[in-house]
Amino acid sequence: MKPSQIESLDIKRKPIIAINKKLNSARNMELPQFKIDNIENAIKNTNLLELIDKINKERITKP
Amino acid sequence: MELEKYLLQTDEQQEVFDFYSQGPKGNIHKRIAYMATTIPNLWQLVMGDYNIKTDEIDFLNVTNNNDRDKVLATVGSTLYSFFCKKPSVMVYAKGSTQARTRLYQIGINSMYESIVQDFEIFGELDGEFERFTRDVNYHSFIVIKK
Repeated sequence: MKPSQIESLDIKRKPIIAINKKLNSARNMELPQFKIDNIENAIKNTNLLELIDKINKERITKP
Repeated sequence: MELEKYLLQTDEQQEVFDFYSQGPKGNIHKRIAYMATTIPNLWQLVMGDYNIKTDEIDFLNVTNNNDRDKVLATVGSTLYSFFCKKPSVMVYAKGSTQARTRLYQIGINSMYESIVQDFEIFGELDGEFERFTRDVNYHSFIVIKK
């Protein structure tokens, strides 16, 4: 890897990350059904949406 | 103490992160991905072994490469990168198995002092998300940037 490819994104934590454009297409991958179910179950069976709503309101009211 | 982490490669939006777990089982190609959900501003963190031949992630494989803490620290470091691009979103994380969810818990516990400086964490217990408390075994997690 060329030094110029290395981008230090957070000096405090020092994660060393190289941008690889080939990974752009990986953003479109399909998740297995059980991963989709995890989110849907959380939406249906927990207070997740209330929590999200609360966080969003807190962010709006913060100066 | 600075935790040891793996070198990462990521896409231009910093949503997909690849690294190689190194240990007695060899070099295992791992992929961490942040995936948008149907809920606005809610993303899901997923992780598994990447199979270059099938271009798929195996979410259930157990590597046992004796590098658990380094892998967890690497996952933690991706949060910083991901939130650099999307500071106002929320990240949902639940392991593919109970054991893996427990691993996330161990990871958050071990990096807690660092994480809480920059993030708020919520854990789901019996259908209710609450502020994360150490030593409680949660079923899933929500992370937001402070």
